Amino acid sequence: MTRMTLVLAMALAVLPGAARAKDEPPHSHGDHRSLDVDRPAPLSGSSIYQSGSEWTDMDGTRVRLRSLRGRPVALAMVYTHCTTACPLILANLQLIESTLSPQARERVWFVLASFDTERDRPAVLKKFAAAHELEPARWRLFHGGRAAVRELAMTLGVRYKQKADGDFDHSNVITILDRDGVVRHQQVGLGAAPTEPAALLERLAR
Amino acid sequence: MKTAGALIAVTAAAIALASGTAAGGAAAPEDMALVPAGPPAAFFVPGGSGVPAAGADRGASADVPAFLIDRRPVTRRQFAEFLRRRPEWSRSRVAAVLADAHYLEDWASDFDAGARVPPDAPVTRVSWFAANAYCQWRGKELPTVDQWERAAAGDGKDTAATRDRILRWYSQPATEPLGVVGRGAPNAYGVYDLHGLIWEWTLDFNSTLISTDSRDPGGKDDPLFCGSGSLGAVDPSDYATFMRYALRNSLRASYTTSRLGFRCAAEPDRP
Repeated sequence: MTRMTLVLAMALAVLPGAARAKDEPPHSHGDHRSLDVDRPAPLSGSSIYQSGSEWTDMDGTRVRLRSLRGRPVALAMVYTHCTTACPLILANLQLIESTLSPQARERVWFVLASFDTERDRPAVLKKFAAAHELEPARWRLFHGGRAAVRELAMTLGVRYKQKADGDFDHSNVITILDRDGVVRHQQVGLGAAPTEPAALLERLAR
Repeated sequence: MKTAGALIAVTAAAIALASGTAAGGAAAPEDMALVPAGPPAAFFVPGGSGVPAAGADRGASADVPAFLIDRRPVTRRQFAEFLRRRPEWSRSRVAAVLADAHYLEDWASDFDAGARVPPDAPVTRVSWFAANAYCQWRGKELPTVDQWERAAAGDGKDTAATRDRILRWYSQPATEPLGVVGRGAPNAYGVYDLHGLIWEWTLDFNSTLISTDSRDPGGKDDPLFCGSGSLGAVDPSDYATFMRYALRNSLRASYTTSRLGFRCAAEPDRP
């Protein structure tokens, strides 16, 4: 009897979410509510994780940005064939990484999301990460489809355009997110040292 | 006047037929117009002038492929249907990061557009995210800037009189409630209301003024745009186009305004 009650309660708990999930296409932003069963705290409306777009990490696993939830994040949109601005963005992120305290370093994510939907496949990203000695315990590299890239860029206010030769013109922005994916700081341009983002990330990681 | 209208209709049909063949015989659904492949409506002078040149390195060869575009902007009635199917986009539930505080503020309630404005008026006060979600829900996409400008340029007969009309509209304060869609004359492709009713979201509104400065290690990407840029435009008297580019450049994807709506586009083979 108790067992039946338990089953019934579970069914009731699951059903409303299941009903909504059935109505949602897989890429709709709305279905995260039903999938967030392991994260009971409601997500802030200001969180960029409200966007439900799907990405693939460098191991080929399909992920949503909210899988980053729980750690503060330093994020930049780049592409690996980029020979000019992107290496500087990466260098700035690595500079931030090197200035963090060892404790903070273990509690943050560094994320590169690629503009290049065609060339930056997971295997390419993995090679890139290895070549730049990016520590897999804190570096995440994301490959996304056209819609996911567009949506993230819109969320971050990043402007970009693909050129005829396949390269991209894009704004150079390092974004710092708190543990819930709320934008706390953006450094635009490559001129300045990333002192402010680094200090903020250190504080957020404590 | 009637003759002129008929002539336009015939021209549009002829264009649709001709390009239909080019696009593999794809037929446009009734509520969408087929715009044949062709060069983007040039705005900035390509290269060499020090101008932030949106299309500078695409060259003349980068035609906009044929596409379908909604004949009319999305209406309040249509958007209400979307909200009933996707209630997470209703104004009380939408996330702040996806729409600002004024999202659908002119509606009577979450799913009711109210009676103050006709249901067949274009929906406005919608963010890019909401417009994008609506088009995806319809199996479509927002038009790109190139697509929108190409559709709006009609068949290239954008006369001084047309521009004056557009500029007069741009200069009018937007105080009156919006009228219904599809009232004026369609353009050469059979598309209504590209000018004169609302401004419209585009898929890549955030891409227009990227300059090669972003590859300059010392360069910031914010001061891309200023009045002197007009010296490098293909036609410096084309203020109307300039204003559209300037507006797009000023937007963020979560913004909503009372005169900013949208329509959707699609590839010809999957309408």
